[in-house]
Amino acid sequence: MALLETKGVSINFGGLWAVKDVDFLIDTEEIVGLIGPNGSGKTTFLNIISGLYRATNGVITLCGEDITGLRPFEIFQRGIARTYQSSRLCWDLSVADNILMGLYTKHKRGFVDIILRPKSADDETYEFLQECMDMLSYFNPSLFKLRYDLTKNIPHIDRRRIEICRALVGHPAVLLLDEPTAGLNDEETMQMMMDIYKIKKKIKDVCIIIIEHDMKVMERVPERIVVFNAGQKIAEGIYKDIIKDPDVINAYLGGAAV
Amino acid sequence: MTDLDFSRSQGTKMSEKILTVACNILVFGLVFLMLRLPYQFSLTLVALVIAALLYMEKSGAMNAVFSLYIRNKGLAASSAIVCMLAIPVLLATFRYQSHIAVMAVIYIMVCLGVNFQMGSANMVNFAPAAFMGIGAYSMAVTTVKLGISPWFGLLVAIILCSVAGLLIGLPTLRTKGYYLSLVTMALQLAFTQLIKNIPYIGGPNGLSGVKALNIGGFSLYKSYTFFGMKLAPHFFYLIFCILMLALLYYIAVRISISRYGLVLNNIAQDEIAANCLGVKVSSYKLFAFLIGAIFCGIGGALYASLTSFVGPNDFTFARSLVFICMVILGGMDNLVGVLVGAFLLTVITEKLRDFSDYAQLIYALLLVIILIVRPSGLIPKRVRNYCAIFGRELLPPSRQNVSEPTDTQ
Repeated sequence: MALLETKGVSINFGGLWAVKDVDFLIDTEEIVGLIGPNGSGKTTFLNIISGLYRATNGVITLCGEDITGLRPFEIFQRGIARTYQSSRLCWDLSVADNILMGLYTKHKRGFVDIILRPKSADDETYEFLQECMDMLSYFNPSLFKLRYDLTKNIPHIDRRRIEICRALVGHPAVLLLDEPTAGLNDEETMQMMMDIYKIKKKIKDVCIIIIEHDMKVMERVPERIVVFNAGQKIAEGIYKDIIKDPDVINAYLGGAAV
Repeated sequence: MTDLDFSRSQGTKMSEKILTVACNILVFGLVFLMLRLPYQFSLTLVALVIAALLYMEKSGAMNAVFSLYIRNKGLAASSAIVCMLAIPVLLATFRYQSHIAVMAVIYIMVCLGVNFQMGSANMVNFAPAAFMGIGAYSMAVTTVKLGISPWFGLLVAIILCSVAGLLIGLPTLRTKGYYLSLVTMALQLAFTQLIKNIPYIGGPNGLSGVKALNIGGFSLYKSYTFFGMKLAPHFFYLIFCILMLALLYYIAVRISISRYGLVLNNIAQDEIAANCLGVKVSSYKLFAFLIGAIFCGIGGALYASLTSFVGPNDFTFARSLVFICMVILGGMDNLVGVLVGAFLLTVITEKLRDFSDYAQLIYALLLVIILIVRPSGLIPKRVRNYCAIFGRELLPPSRQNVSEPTDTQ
């Protein structure tokens, strides 16, 4: 049984089908890449999965459970975490605070504990922070020193890493990466690619859906690629086959690129 | 503060403890002088304190003081309470000054409540005076109309304010930013009109004869004579309010350093991201309104019990603006800042009573200057320093974590 499955998922924005009849499967431990021209519905598709948009038609299941129409926080609680195309970190909070938010749902201590048993509540937060710091240092050990710095003062690639840490620290089943290399130069893109490998190394059974425009990354990272065009899935397969597919060349790569 | 400083300070130094207590004595000495001195000196002192705060913030001295206090938090808290309780004793025979002190304490409570919404969650609530009014009127109706104990009035105030907080919080789930502010503004105006038009609670004339809180027949607001010295009637009331403030302040601190405060900050900056991290945003917004309303309500109930009179003019839109100014002046989302802002503005308003024509002018001028010089307030918000809060540092990455994966590519 597939870990995450969508059947006939469509969304309509005032007459325009931004995503139409997408059937999609992903298994545990798999990495799938989504490519397609701008406006082809890749990010919209991720937004539907993470609950930000409600699908007009179609069914989404996670481990066999129907999660269609659940709200974003409920979807996160079921194990789907994501990052964003343009970073959605809180600039005025510290690095530690930002990552700690990723463990929000794991907190057991309630309001009464916080007021009346401060020690136990603080101990819990301390454990979680330690977990966050381990995760952060795993991606970039030098960030440990900057844990109390405001996120807005952190370099761009490290912000991306912090965002990945935040999504990853709660050990999700599915990780959605929306253009992790956006705004990075070539060298940083390579570093980010290494980081994505590191994710797999750290949490073996996480499956990753990654949207990316950089074909160098797409060639190496995903095991399977799904191509979107005008809201529809036009091709699916391994990289070698995809780049030879005439529909894909026409829609996305352009004749001269390959 | 780096970890190195922190571990060095673990061997609790005597000098540091003395310094903490000395700082507290200095702070409360200034508080006492501001309350006690005649207005010319008092206001000069206020101006000097504001200048000193601005300078300390700029030079980083404020951070040093903060870390000193956090490192010795137990001692700092206990000595602060002792120093605070010294103020009613020092002001024992001064009626008017005691009155200002009680008002300041009540306003601080309300501002702590406003801070949950405005500071932490960035939802500007223009109706704190309405919440305060609900608390005050609950107290008045239970004691004057129903003749029940004022303690029960305090309880009713808390319950009614939580209900009102939830109701007024409801529109926040649908509206954001300016629209939310407009909704709360409308509710504030509607509240004043509503109070004026209910004859049962006195309409425009208000209700008088609200009973003061008492403990076993021993009224907290009454002039007692000790050793031939006639005490101000506020003496015990002020002590009670200070203890209440200490309790509320503790709750506010715990909320702001716990995940509740963190989630509210997150919602303030990016609601969608918070939602995608498993936060049920609506319940946290309601929480901010609920807890804020309870703080305002307690302040209102204590206010009614102090003045023994409640009227619609005490809980107007203008009063709401004053609370918002206090929070902005002190520093949003910094509890110490809120404390300082509320106290300074109370002193300024009360000391300028004789010149009430000019009071508004000076008041507005001060606010404009502060907003230009330091828009984030006298003591801006701080990053949560968990290492100091927990009294132990986070462990640096272990060796195994640092190793780079080599088999990729």
